[in-house]
Amino acid sequence: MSFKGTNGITRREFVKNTALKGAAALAVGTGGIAFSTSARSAETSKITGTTIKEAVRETRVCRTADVVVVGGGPGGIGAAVSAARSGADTVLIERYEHLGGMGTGGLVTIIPSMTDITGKQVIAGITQEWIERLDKRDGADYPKKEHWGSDDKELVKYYKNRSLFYAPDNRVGYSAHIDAEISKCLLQDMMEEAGVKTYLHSWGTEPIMEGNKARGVIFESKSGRQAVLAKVVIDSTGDGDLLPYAGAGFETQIERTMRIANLSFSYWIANVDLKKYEEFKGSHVKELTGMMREVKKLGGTPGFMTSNLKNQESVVWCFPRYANKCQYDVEELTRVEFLGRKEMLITHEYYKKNIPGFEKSFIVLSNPQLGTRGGRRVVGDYVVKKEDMKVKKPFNDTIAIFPSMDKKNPLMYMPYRCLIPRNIDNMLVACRAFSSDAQINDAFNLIHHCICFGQAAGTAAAQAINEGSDLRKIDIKSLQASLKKQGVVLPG
Amino acid sequence: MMKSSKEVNNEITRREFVKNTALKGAAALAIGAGGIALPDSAGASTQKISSKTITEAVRETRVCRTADVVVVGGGPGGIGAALTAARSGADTVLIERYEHLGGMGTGGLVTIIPNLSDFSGKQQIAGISQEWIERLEKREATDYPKKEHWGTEDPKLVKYYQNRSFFNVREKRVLYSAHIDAEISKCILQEMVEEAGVKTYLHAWGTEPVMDGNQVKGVIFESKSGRQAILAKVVIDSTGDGDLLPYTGADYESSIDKTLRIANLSFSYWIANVDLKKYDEYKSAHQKEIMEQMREIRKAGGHGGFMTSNLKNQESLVWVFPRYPNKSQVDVEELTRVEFLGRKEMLITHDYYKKNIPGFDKSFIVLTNPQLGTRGARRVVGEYVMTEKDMDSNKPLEDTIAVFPDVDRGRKSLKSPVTYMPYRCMIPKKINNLLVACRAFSSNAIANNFFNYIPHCIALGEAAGTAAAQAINTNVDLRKINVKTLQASLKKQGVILPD
Repeated sequence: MSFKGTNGITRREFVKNTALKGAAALAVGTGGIAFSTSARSAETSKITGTTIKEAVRETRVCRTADVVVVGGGPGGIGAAVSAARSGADTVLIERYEHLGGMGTGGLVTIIPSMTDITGKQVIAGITQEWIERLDKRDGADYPKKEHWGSDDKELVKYYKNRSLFYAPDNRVGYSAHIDAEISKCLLQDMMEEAGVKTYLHSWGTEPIMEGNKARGVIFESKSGRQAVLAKVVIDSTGDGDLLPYAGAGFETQIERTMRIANLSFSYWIANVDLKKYEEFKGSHVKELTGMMREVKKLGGTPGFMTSNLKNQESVVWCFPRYANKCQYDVEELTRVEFLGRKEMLITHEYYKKNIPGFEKSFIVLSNPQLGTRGGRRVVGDYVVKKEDMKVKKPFNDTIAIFPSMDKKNPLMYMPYRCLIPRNIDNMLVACRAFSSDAQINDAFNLIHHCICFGQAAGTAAAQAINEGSDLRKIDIKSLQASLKKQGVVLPG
Repeated sequence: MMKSSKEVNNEITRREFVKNTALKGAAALAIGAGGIALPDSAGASTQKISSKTITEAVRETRVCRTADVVVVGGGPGGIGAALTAARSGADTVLIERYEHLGGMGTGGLVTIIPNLSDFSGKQQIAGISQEWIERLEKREATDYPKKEHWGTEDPKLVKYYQNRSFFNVREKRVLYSAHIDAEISKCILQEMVEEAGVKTYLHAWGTEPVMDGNQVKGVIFESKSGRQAILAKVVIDSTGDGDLLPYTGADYESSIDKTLRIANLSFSYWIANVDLKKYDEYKSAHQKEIMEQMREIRKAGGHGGFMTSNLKNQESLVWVFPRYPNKSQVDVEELTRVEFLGRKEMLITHDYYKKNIPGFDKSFIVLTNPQLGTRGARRVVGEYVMTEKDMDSNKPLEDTIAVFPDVDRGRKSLKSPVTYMPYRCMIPKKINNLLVACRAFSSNAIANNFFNYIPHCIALGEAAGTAAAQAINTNVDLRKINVKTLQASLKKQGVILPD
């Protein structure tokens, strides 16, 4: 193969260079881009109609770490920050160009229900830290602390009108609307401060397995296929993407009537005159109801939420739900994206034409990530089932408390074991793929829940590495003490 | 085998899962959960792990589809390629990494299709670029100088248009350059691929070609459904960066002089709720102060200057597009570094504007680019390498498949106002069944610097897609197709070519 131009590099020379320079060369720009030594994957031995046989290949290890976290959404954020703060050398791999997952790119800009019905805050930790950092930039909105738990009718009405999340069940609660863009910035600050090594634009596709032991992760990026070796792998992909490759058991069944059975295609409409809209709404309740019916009949989506954030008085948020066959089927994801955009145009056209206040509005943004709610759920050492909601006694290995809508049992305890895949070593699942039945998953897989799972997983991973013990055998009391020190609310 | 597999109704172990999938065959893919294809060797049954490499075992990767043409990347190049291939009768698959189509033109917030006319005002780039703009027009989602003003040197008009957008005027002449709406564009492009019958996979990262010697046979892509392959007669690399090239063994270059535009990444974002009237009033009365303020922002680590949206109802929106020098635009380390830096400097910039610049007091950051702005990376070494010599020449090439207005080189441009693009600059040397239709086309850095914008990539894509379909229809190699026939087809599609 000939050498073309000063910087023309043939594959063979390229690979040779890379190999000679070794792993340290990775950061040096062009010369440091790593392709696997068998860059030519497709020394395909055999192509049949239904499969291709890929040859043995050497994949470059670009880094080793104590903990590698796959996915920079709420679970991954919690895991990476807490692992790094606990002293573990931590790598975070994120597919998109931002952190925050559903909470930012998914436009699910809401951290709901952090208080129990008495108004006591039971979810804090990194969730609270995120909100406090947003506060400094006027980037969050939530009911005043002195109102949490109140059932005062006026207050309930006020907050309910402000957001459907602020006063569920006729009681004011602590739920926060958050700014997506500012959040992306703050989360990245948190990673940097904690010393997490982050790879954005990186798709963690497969675990590296040695029997039942996870040894690292393979990821794809513009730099080619590479591997990160680690002592603990945390799957925070949301959908449990690593599970099928790990050989872990998982469940996928979801009843159609559940919230988590739906994908979301969210978008923002800007330049809305909400005052004008409110006036119209106040005096034309019946007409408006009729209009919403009409939007729906046309194939659009009625209803929206207001941003509530400072200076965003002209932004509203639409969040249609889409029933689907499976949320990790590329066919279904594509179908819903196409359908979502079509119906977005129908909806906005109708609003613009017919609803006062929307005349000069425009679509400013559709979700940079499709809204996913339910994919794979790992079968862990403990499967949290709906019967557990009735249990009033905390688990011995409780690592989080979640407020529950069940009045008789207002607190739900989450065990560490629901993060440990059965029969697989060195791996934790810290995202909505935690071990649970569909009902539990439906109730407890929101942003702040996932942050909690992440915080417990990251802390546990660091502890296991420090102690030199298996993830299953760590001292639970120490884990709980560490979590409390980090601001996590736990029993006792 | 997992003991737990019997305990839970729908629990599936990897082995059973794969078995099911294999039994159902390729057709099962569309049936939801049961149809998800993971390869037979789903487990990364690693043979050897060292600190430098891991050895991955032989694996069977499922073929989820076969096609005539598979296009990797749904940006401007891929849109052009997929649409024309499908419209020319080829069974076409388009694989896109993000959740939208349009690439830099939508997700990259490069919401501008510039330089469609030459200095005389004659439109030189039409085809699918024009179609995109016309579809936007129906939704009042584009803004460009009036047709009767293209080419004019009338100082009043020039001043008006220059003030409206940086892209409207070159060498004191009005050009046809269009601001476009990102969100409406995503919708329109999806309509276009649907109408053409393109099979699109979103959320799908086309990572590697399937090779048989020097023959490209298809593409492997990663998605939430696992690693899968598509076999095709022709593969078109529209990844922007030429992602497939290193895996094919094709030669490519990547040197870029630091002073060139394409040496920079962009981190673009929009600020909303700006009172532009207030700002303009302040600007005209306080020119000196504002210059000083822009200097101060830069000193603070922020970015001076912005563009206005110009689109209807978007009077309160401005667009900021800082540039970032970097070591390589295909290095994950550099991409991550620039994302982090971009967000930091965005906050510095916006904080300063909000505090100090009238009109921005109530503004907020509404959106950062869902895709980082990339401008220059790998460039394939093709059968013809475009250089500035070709820009200086005023003679069409025999295999011209596009004419690009040359408007960005000052007086040089006035001397040679158009550049002719040959079909050969998309054909990688020595590699068969592959075309490169994006900014990775065969060119030196300078030629690439001037002709790798949105409309250029669309034009390359149109030619590649049409050529691919023709090669398949006439059953000849991509190198041996009848170029006159290709040119005639392109003309029929509205592409402007020399007579």
